[in-house]
Amino acid sequence: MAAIVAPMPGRVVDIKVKVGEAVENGQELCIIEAMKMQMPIMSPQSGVVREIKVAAGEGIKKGDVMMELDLHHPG
Amino acid sequence: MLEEYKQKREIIKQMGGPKAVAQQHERGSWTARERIEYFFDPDTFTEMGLFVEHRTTAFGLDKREIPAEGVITGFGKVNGRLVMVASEDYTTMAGTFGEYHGKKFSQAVDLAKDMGIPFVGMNDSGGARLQEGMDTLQCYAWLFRSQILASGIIPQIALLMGPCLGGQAYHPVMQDFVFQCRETGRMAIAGPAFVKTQTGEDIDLDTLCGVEAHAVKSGETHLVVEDDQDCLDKTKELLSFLPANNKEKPPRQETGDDPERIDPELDTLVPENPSIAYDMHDVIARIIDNGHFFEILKDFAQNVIVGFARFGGRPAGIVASQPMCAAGALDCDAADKVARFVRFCDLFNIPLVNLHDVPGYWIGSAEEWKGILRHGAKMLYAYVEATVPKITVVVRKSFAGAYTGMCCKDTGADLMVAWPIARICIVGAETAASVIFAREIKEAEDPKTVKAQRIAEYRELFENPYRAAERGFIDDVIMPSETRKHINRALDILENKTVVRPWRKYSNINL
Repeated sequence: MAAIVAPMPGRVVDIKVKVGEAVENGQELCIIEAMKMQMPIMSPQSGVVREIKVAAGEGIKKGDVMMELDLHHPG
Repeated sequence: MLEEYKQKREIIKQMGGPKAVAQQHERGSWTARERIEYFFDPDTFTEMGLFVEHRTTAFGLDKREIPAEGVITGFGKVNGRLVMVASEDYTTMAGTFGEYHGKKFSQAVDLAKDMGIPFVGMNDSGGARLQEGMDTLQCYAWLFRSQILASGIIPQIALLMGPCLGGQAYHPVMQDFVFQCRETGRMAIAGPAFVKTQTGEDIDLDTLCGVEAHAVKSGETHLVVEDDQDCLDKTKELLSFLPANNKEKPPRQETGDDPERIDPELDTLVPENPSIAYDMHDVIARIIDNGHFFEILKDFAQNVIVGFARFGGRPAGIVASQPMCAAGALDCDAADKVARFVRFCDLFNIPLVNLHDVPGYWIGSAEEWKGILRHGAKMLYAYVEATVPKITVVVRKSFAGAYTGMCCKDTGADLMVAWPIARICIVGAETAASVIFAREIKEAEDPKTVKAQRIAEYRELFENPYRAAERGFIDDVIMPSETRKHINRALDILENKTVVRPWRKYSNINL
């Protein structure tokens, strides 16, 4: 399992995936915004979205877990 | 007599003997002498202090031979230019640092300083030679003193090729650049065993002080290298950008890349929409000679990019925002990274080229409490005090404190230009409009529309390069495709820039 954490504080602009969806390595998971910049958050590996903990429009702090993924190739 | 001479030398050059050398190779490392052999141009190395011996008698050390005192020192040529080295020999009593080991080391630094040639330290040591007691501690002090007094006079590069643990680790970290071998280089103020007994923390050596620890977390390792060969190749590459000392200019090389080259791709490379990120490396690669960029600290504070490149064959230091990471906004780590790089370039007469796409310094409690103001101040001090040529290009955003902190004309840029998509502004339109027209928006029948109107007005008026150009804050608005040409022409006119300032001991920079 891998936690997708917010790399900077800001706001969630858009969620690009659904729970249960299979994602590829490098696929866009969500977009966050801070300091006048939108930042796509990519999947670090291929896997399946297990849980989404944030919604579009919500504020986030640096280090907040935004999603949990089940990885196809853990480790 | 000649036989004795030959035999003595031969024995010392065998270092710790065949078994210890084999173990060194098993670890994936070269020996101290193999490293020297690879590093210098053939037949140019002159060794100093081959016959130096320790004088300790405690704990049976009087019967112990320690060839060359576990560190090989001397000078030779790297691509035809003189360089001094001290290469620690792990095969000899684990390269432990004793009195005469330290004396050889610090004398090598002193000589490099006095002769004005770069110093390269190859660290591979099991730590302090505890049998020597306080003498070891004294020789740490000699080394620290020598290198600090040489700082700013000659470039100093530390190569973590093996372990460097304990107080000794201040030696690499106080040099200008630290390279760390991925599998073998380890640096810590104390190793895991000591950490465990003193604090109870259970941590393995790699996690505590491997490449992830220092290249990503602490920001003390400037470059991660794969192995000894890669490490020495990268050292030679870095040296090619640097002068031998602070009185010389960095060496200009023929690169075959036309200084006036136009790159039409640049006109459409950066998205006009300021909230869309892109990779600033793509811009850098297109404006420098042959796309050859020697990036340092690339895994630490990735919101800014620093490194060396050439323009028309002249070495330059590049400081660039990275919108791909944390909006390119400057936090404490980024400020530290930029400030030390700018000061290094200034010390060694290397011009600075700054590329802005920066929305500001990071705001909010996390950075405020870490001291973003005092960290950000380091950048202001570094840029204002730097007397080397400074050229700034505003690629897209240059807002607020970051406009001054990343070197605008009034904080020291000699020449400054902006791309047509640039937004040079005290704050973004949304922030400005919501402050200036707060009351009007609040009291309006349709606050949303009024707010949008006022934002649009502010944006139209200020979020562009032309207000700044009207007041002379920038020298010109240029086509992105012509950026390289402008930088090269600026470097031409700034070639012999001189600055004279009144004497002071030093400034009180916010360390």
